[in-house]
Amino acid sequence: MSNAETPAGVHITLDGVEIEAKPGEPIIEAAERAGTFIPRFCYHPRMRAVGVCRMCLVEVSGPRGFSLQPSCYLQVAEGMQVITNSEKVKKAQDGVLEFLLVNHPLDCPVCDKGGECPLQDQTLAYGPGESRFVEEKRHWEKPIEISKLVLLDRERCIQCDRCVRFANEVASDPFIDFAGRGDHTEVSTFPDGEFASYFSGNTVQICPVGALTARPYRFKARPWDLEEAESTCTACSLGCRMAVQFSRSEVTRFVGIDSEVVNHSWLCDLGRFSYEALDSDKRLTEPKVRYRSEMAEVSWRDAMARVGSHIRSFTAGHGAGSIAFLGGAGFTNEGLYSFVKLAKTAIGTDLFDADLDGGVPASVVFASPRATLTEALAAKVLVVASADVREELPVLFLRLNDAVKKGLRIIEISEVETSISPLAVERLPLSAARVALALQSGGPDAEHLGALVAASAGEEGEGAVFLLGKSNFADPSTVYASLAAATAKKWPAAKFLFANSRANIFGAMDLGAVPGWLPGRVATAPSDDAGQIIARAADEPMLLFLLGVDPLAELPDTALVRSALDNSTVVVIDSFDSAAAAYADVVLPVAAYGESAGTTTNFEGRVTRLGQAVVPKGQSKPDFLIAAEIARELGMPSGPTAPEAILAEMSRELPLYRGLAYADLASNRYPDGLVVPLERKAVSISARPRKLDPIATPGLIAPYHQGPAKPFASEAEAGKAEPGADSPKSPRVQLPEFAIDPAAVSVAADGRLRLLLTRRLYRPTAQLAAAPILSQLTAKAEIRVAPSTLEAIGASDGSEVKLIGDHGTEVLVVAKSDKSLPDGVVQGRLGDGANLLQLVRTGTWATYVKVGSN
Amino acid sequence: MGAFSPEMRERAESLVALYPERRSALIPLCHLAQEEAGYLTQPFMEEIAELTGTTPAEVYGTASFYDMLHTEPVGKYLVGVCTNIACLLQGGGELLEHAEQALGVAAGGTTDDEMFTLEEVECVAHCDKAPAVQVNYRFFGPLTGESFDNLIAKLRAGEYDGVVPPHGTLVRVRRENGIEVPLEEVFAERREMDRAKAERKAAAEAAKAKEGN
Repeated sequence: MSNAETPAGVHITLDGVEIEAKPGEPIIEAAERAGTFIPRFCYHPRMRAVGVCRMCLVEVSGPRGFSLQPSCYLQVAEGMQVITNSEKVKKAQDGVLEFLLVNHPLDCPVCDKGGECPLQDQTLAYGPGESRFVEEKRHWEKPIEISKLVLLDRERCIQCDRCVRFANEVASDPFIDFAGRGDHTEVSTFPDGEFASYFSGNTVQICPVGALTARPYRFKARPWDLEEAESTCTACSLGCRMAVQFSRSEVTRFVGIDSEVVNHSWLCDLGRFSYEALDSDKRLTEPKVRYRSEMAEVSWRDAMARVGSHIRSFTAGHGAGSIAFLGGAGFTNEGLYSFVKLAKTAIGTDLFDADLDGGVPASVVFASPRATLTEALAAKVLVVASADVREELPVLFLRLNDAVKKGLRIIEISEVETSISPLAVERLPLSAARVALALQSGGPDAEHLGALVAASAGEEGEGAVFLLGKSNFADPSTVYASLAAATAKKWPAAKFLFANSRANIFGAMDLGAVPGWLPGRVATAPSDDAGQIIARAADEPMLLFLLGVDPLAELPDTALVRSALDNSTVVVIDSFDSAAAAYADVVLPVAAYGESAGTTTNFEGRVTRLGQAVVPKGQSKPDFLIAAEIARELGMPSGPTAPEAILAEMSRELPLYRGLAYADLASNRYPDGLVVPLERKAVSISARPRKLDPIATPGLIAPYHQGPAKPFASEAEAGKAEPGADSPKSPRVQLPEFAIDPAAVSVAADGRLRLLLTRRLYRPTAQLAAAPILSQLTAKAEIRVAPSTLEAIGASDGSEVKLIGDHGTEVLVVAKSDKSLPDGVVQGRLGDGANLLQLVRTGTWATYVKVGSN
Repeated sequence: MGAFSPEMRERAESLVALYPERRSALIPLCHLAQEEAGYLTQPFMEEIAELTGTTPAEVYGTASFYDMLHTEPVGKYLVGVCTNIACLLQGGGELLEHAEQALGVAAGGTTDDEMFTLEEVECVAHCDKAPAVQVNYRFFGPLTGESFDNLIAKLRAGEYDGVVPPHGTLVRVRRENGIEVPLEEVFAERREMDRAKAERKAAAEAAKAKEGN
């Protein structure tokens, strides 16, 4: 929001000083901006005010003189007089705190919140000092496990309603509520029920007392022992800002940072608790090479020598084209840049593919005008055609949920019902291929979609944003490329976001870690993608570098992958032990999250800083260092080996990154990072110092980066030149043409069903498996079919059925009935217990299976 | 599938249809469930959540808030002894103590034969008959230990069957929520109540006359 849009202010008198407030804002916010902190418990800037804790009572003038009013609930009005420091207010605060402490145990010395507790802190600052209550306090059974991750100590609860409001309003998972009445009031799940939300950790983060605690953190650390590094979550490509807190070189927890443009302080549980894996014994910590049939731990020198000799012998024997790099989307930008430089310059191979999902390809991403998240949420209409956002980019679901309440219009294109369906004004139950073909050749589906978009954004799609991503993981990426291309052609004024969800996949694209591209969005000759590389590796000798990926778990056509790995010389560069590591000839341990600094790029193209909290575990090394050492092993110059220096080289060499400096990203001026290329300016909201409100996210050590943007505080530095403002406009990439085969939408005869593969948040990965508590949530594989289909195959809801692929592969999997699915489709939900990806054959337009009852 | 019988399910659906917001039917549906099962079992709460577009946790939250909604098993007769000021002065406390001994359960408990659940209640607006007792929201009083035992014996013997319906039966609630209750049913209940009232009055008068003699 620019200053021009800000409506005229309202004038109120705060403790005798006239201040300007935004119309409609609560007193507590106006006061806070003016520098007066009013104590509070239930008020949270990202949630609806309820005024239940009474801590924020202030004196407000009214028709009958001054009276005590909750400042979080009462909106400012012209001429209002507010007193926050009178005897009467002080007495109210005393009373409220004494009352809250009547039943609150004084177990602070053993409470996890002790030391960062809003109740503790505000009692000290505003409390009466003594209690008149001498009776027995409440006792409850403790702790109660309300989910696998969250524990509840009810006697500590002060009924502020933050967790219940979060679950209900923000996450739309109202699985907890207040039960009972009076002093028996407790936060409760349904008896035998569970707070089964992907976002449950946020309730722990916002609890103003120690009532809700996270099992992975409980009794692990004291707040005053914690140090903090600001960082970005890499569980998906949304890039939520968060603080990595650590103690004695051990990561102890992640806390969400309130970034106005990305995550509003929320994290998903997968991101929040993924640190559990960092200290597990499933970490790869030593370089290993294969001697005869055994893997032996060796020094880095010996491992590097082995890698070097492999590269030299493959180059000499089969040409550089026999060396391929798969993965890397989990690496830092600096690591990716170094590896791409190694592959494409030092070694001379073009075979590099970071997107094992085969999502929307870089050629489409670069050619489409990209929206920022802020633009997408303020769009006239947002068309979502991707896999379930809550499963792929979880916190984006929270942002969309919030935006829809504020008036965003969403049109969804999805064959299956998703978390977005209830938010959308309409769901078109069409496959991506159907829509792509319809847009190319016209027809009723295209007309209908056209009319829906035109209703808000006109024929050209001005102000419309499309969120496009792979919705069926059995499809080839060409389907999504053609959908994106056809969409961009039909709505030339629309903007796009892409839902490829691997952590730094957009950084990987920008840095040329995808087929057909060089660093800096520079096109080169087309080359093979991951599927084609694997197909080649099954036939001819190849040297495969696996950069933090397990193709066995992540690529379709498992049998082919297995023979490719068998047939190739494999170098695994990973932090976690995976099935693919069993095929390795060399294993190089790479520093895991929080163990090295660098930057990452999110789905908007936003580059943010990754903070280093602890030293790499065991012998592991940062990704960029490993690339540099391999280069040195080959007798090439290794280039810079510190992340700041690598980023400096990137911004010097690549126009895409021109003007980007590590120091800027680390400064208060760009707390939310910068969107590349910087010519778009945009994006960054300037510094919003916010020294107040340690209550919104207790435990955050440096909360000055937090909080909603404050356009009212005037963009003081707006006159200052943005970094990169003078950089030349980068040339527009031409949108390629894609042909889609009608086979992609053909209906199979002979009772075969089209396979539609979707993923869930807790999909089995090496990192999830290494997290002791989080891994209990690992999704189980299952299929869903229409009730009539289930009946037709003679199976019952929840029984095991046999899926038979076109090439004879058989998979046993549990089948469930789902009314929302059409006939002729089987939705396979990927997970543990059955490998549904093996039914897919690389290079087919659509996958069909037969279902037989077992 | 559901906890409601088909007939009750139909009533429940028509009840939901009465409100612009589905969730407004939550409390009436809880009463409906109690009428069918005596208390709110988990399957009922789950079905109510489904009917009202809420989650079981929200239904449980609401149900646990209100005294007239029970999430634990309740005997056929819910016996509430008032211990608020008027009744207390007239011996409500002693009556509750007596009731606990007579029924063999503490306040809040249910007898082993699942006939009686004993509760200590706040004022039931029957102060003129203090100490007052309510059985399934039908009022009795003033009661002594002896007349309490008498009442229990009669309830046990089925002598009040027409007057005190089993716990959960709330004809009026249903009517006020627009559910059609056959008029004969209402009148029959009213007649039965009137008859019992007249009987009690006659008995009281007879006792008075006897005393007078």
